[in-house]
Amino acid sequence: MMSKLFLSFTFFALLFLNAKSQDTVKVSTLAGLDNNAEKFYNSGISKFASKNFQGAIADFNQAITMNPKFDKAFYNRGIVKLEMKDVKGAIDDYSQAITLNDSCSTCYFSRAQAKYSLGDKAGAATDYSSTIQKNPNHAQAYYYRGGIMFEQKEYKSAVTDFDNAIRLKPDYAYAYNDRGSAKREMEDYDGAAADYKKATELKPDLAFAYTNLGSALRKKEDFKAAISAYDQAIKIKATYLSYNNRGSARYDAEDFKGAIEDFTSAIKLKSDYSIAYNNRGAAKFKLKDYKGAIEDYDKAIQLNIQYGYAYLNRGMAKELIRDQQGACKDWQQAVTLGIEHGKTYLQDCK
Amino acid sequence: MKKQFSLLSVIVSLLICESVAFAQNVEFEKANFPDKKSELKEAKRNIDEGDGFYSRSEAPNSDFDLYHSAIPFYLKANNFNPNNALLNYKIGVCYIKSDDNRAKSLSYLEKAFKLNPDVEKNIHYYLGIAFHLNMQFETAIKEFQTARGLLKTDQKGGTTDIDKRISECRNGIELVKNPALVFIDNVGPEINSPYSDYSPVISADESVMMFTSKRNSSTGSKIDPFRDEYFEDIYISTKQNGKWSTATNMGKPINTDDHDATVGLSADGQKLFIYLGNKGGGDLFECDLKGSQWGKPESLGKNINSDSHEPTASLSADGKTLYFVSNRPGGFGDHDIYKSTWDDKKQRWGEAQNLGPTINTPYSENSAFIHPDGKTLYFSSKGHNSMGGFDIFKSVWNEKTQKWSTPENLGYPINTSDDDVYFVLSANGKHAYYSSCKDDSYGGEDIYMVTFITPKNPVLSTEDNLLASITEPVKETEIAKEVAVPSAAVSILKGTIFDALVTTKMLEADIELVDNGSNQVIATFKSNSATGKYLVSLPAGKNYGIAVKKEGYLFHSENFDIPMSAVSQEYVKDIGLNNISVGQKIVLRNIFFDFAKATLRPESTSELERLIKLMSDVPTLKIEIGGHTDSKGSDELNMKLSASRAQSVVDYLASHGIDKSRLTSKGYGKTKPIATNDTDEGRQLNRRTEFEIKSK
Repeated sequence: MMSKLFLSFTFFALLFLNAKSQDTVKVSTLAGLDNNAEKFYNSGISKFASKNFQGAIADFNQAITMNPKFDKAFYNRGIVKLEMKDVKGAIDDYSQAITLNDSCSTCYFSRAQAKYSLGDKAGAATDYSSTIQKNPNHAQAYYYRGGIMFEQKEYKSAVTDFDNAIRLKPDYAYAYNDRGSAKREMEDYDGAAADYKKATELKPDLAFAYTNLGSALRKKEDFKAAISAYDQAIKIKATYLSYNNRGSARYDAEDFKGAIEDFTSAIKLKSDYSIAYNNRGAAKFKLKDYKGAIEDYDKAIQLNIQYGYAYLNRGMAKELIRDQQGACKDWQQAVTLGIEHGKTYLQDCK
Repeated sequence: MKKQFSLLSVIVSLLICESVAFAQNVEFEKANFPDKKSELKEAKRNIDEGDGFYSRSEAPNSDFDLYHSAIPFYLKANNFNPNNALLNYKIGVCYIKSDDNRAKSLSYLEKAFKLNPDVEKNIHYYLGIAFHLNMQFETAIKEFQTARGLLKTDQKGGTTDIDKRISECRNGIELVKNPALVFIDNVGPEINSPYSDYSPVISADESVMMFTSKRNSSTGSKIDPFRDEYFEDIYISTKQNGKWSTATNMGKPINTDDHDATVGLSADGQKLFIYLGNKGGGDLFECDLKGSQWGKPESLGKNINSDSHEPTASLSADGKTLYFVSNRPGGFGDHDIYKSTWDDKKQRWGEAQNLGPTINTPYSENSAFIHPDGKTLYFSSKGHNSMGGFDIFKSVWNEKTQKWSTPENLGYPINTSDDDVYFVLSANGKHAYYSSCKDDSYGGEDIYMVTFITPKNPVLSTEDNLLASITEPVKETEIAKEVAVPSAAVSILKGTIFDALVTTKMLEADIELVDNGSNQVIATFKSNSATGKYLVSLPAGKNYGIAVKKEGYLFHSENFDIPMSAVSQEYVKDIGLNNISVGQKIVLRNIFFDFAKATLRPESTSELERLIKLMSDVPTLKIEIGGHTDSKGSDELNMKLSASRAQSVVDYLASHGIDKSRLTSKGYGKTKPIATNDTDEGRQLNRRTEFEIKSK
């Protein structure tokens, strides 16, 4: 059906100076171009860029109405929906885009990311695999799939994926960091430390990679090096986590006072951080401040009633202030919470 | 039984150097206490009294051990005049040589030295011991080093003694660094008395304790003249509901008027080993519990008891091996630990075997205790890495290698720089009992319970951000890029609308432009009325349809592509329209004939082609071709020529596929002039071929 969307006469003599304006009828149909799908599509992109999400959606809708096979318009509408927290809507649009253009690796990749954010890890992994199938050079797809492997404790597969990500993107600091973590889980602490180190070299502001490096070195019982890695992490970005870790390394190095300082710093940054309370309790215990230790353990337990180790530790402190009954009660609670080691201690309660 | 300790083997001279009185030193002289005559007299009497005990104990090869008895007298005198160097010195020495409160010696000796550094030549030696007893190892070492420097060449034995003490101090420094994790508790007044209570023995389950006490309820209530104390007796207490009962004297036949001391109890509590000091240089006896009555002490026989001193014993849980201590000749020095196996056939203990140099040292070993596990031996020794006096050690028998492990010091605070002896352990290994002199003593030595705490290490928790993508997520999904909008390439379409046959006739026609892709009319306009020209700008890359309408003319439409191009292009589309009204006569100016003939000249072809096209475009069209001449020549000839010329055109058209039924021809001669025949120009216009639309 023919529709007259537009009727316009434009005389633009200026553009055609060589033509005699009087003897030629001049008509422009170019204004009509604003009505095509591409124009709306492009307009949607610029509205998205200026965070006018509703406007962007309307434009992409228009583009799709004008060209129902406009795969990119579906994809982009998905992106806007994602931005508007409508993850399911985004997934639907990505799926439409894929239906219209199965070769769109980016569509698979984006859908994978959206699925992951909804907790659908298996679906995400499948989409990452499809991304790789469509575009074997997609470093990020390898990287994120490796992350899912890691979470599923498939560390070997994770390492393989991270290997590929690094092969395709040799400056991929995140992939180095995560490969380090996978190696760490496989107890290859040397390999882990090397990867974390590489990550920090590639991205010197990656505080958490320094923290991870510290933790790998701590596992290697190289406490001095661990502490200096944590120092670096704290210098870049002081977090409760890095303080807690450095405190633990200082504790390992028997610098209990320094450890207490760090745990206190961690608590200052995160006042409900039960772990730092537990650890500070342990450091106080080592300094024979059993009452102070118990106060900290109390706090840790108050913050996390399921904190088995805090019970176990509090029992130790109670034992040394001669509260054997209290100690046994705590160890029993630790065992109830799954701390098997508590059973050994309970033998002293008979 | 006397607590063992050795002091400087060189004889300490009692000669008091009448040194120059320092300002601080205050002698017990009238001049110093002009107003306290009687008090001075009393003080001097107390000193004399104390000196009596002191000198009897100090005499060479003396059997007396009465230093502790001198102390109360000396303290009274010191209370009157605290600033006498010699008195302070003697109090210090008495404490050192007593069984208890030995650490108290330090303050008196320090004061003595302060009042008069030359108070006595052994002051540094005793200061060393006092510091040592107070666990001040570094200072003790310095004092011992000073004392060693002051020794004369004929006092080499003293060097050995001092060196041993220095090494004990060094052991102490190390051992105190890593204290054993224990609680040490006084077992309470049910067991401990204001007198010395020591040498506990327990049943394996800790339900029965027997121990030695010098309390005043001693059998016969006699005082040992050599020690100025009650004779030792054995007492018993039982544990009920976690509490020890008040200890009672075990009475006869176990206790006698003489020294009776516990040395060991079988694991089941049925056999008690005791020490009787008045037999064979001090011998070991066994008493069996029959019902609720203890039998008479029976000697352990000649393989165990010798002429030498056998002070302690311990029976293995299976009752087959007896570990005991003896200073019989042939050992490694002083008292050693031996073992003997029960000979079932002969119903006696077999020959004693020395446990060997791993256990026994040149110094004294004592109070062996074999744990109910049958392989862990606890014993006291002044050798190994003792930190002073006897320390308690542990060694484990390895059945495979048939060797004892290197004795391990049980560590501080179980062991101190003083004597730590008579250590017995419960079967479960959690508790040990031993005697010690501590601040919370009920008097003299007391029995303490050691509770072993299994060293436990707190568990730290740490977290790491292992996955970078989760720690610091990166926004990876990006919006797809803008697409090229087709307007990027603009094309110009232009042209002229004209009469197809009368090409010089420009037409103002309605033009409609359709985007065939979207089937939308994108523009309608008219061409210029004077020039027939139009110009339209269009997006390239599309297929367009153009339709041109003009009343009286045939509708014209056609399709064309404007290909996508990076640069703007210009396309020209001139369109000729066909006039199609009935009766309309159109002069075909471009048809030429040979002179005076009806033969079409070649240059007529274009005009003829246009005519053919018209006939093809409008298949219903019927026309008449008319030939016309000017007025020259005969009318007949002119009619004939014009008719044959018109026929030539019809023939031409017919030969080019136009159906003859649509064509007619007629010669009009000069009859229908359209201009004057008087001029050449006029005549030229009149010589013409026309066609007339007959029907359409």
